[in-house]
Amino acid sequence: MQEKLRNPHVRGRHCDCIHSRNPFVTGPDSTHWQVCLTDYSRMAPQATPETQPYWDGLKEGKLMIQRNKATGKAYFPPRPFDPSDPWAEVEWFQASGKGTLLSYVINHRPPPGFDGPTAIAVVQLAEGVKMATNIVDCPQTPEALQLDMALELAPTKVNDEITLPTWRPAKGA
Amino acid sequence: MPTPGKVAIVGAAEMVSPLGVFPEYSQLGLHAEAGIRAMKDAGLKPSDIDGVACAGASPTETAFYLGITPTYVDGTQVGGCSFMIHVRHAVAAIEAGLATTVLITHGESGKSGIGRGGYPMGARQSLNAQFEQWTGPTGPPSMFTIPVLHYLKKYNITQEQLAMVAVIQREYAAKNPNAMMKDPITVEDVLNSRMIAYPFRLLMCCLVTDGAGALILTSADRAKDFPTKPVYILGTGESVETPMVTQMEDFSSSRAFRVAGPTAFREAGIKHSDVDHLMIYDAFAHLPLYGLEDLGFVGPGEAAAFIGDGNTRPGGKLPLNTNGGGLSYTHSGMYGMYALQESVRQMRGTAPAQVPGAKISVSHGVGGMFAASGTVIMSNERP
Repeated sequence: MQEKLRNPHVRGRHCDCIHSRNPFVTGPDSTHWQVCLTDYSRMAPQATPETQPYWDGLKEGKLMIQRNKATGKAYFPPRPFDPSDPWAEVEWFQASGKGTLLSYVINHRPPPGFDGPTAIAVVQLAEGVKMATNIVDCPQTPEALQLDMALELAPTKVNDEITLPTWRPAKGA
Repeated sequence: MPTPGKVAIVGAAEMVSPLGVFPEYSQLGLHAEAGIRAMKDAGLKPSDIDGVACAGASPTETAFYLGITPTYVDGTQVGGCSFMIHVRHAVAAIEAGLATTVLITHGESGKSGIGRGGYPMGARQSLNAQFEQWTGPTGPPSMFTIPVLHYLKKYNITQEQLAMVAVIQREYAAKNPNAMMKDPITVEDVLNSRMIAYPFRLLMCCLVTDGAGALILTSADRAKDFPTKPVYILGTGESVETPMVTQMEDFSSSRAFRVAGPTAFREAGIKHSDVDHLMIYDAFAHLPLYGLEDLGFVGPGEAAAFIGDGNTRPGGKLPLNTNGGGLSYTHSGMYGMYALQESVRQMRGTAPAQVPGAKISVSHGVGGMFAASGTVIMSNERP
């Protein structure tokens, strides 16, 4: 876990990742790694005041989500209140980064920046919430993407502000 | 709760071409032309209309363009089921005296793209942008379909069974001169068609067309004075769940369906066995499965076998999507109006694939990607 925090899945790093079939040049900020992942720069989200801690956490490789302090029940996406009890106290906490593959499609007509068929997946987090993601370090095939398989967080840095919560098959699962 | 049968549809018109395009119309022009044809159907002029509802154009645009001075407007725009919800609101408005005669229009230059507004999905700070869009979907074919692998696995349903939905709807389209796709297809044809977003292949996805439609509603007491056979509204329902399909509570069932459908049945005071004809918005082949289950026609996980056993095909006990559906008839983007139009035709007895003696029709719509839902139950008999 500690190593993962120090080494988020950085765009531009050579890896056995989803889009290594047809490498593209990543741009002036990339130094020597030209075999690359998806270019997320076109789709990079921007934080709002309500979601800033979530994106700040991801910059450090941490998945910060929120829960109701009284019940301990997590909710997602972030907002300053628990939708099941808007008057309850809530807190941010670091999710375990463990989950399972709930469902997905493999998009055979991906938008620019994506190179080849790409799975759009939903991970069911150990904490009970779910989130949309891409599965990195994994062939984008039905054979490799088995429902309910164990996943772990493997963030992908897009720019200085945004690191995306990508996931990968759990090591040693 | 609205009283069943107090409001009726007295005007209806649809613009659907077997070629799928209306290159001579802008999107607003399609709204207007459908509205004018519905007024002609009802024998009314713009000055007779005092309520306007639409999605895909603003009610301001439509009212201005058609020369209407409304006392009631409804710009509810929650996707393709907006028109079901417009019907629901119009019933309440007419019963409450906010308006006497409501025009609901749909027009969409979905294929030609003339005068079409963009969808506001691009903002990088929206919920969708922050928590969904970065994963790389290419519109609804790779989003609306995300829950389906989970559903198939949960209920042990095969891709062949999913393909059968498209095969059976093509049987209805073959009877419909206006349908864009009429040639018979097999399960093999569906499973051999181009992969769009695994497990969805081309023939499991809706068409992309231009089209338009409009309805006129008024009180049932006035309805008998109109030239066409009135179609009474028995009950309606509506709900929304989430702007992000990946945040649905349950990937095997739509909460919005489970609210809208039963609300309409309760208002109408009917049982499922009373239903002679059913429309379930089919942007993709899985929607009739979710719809049949969430509306309670069959139990969870039973819809694929129900369809596979022939219950919904021509001559079956529950004819479903009898115009051929979004998969084979037409789909301009917000398909709900075409489902309503087919229900009206079935109740008027004028449908190309007419269900003999049909008295009650249910028209169920989805909006966005499991984001919203609207249900309308109609009858050609006043209760």
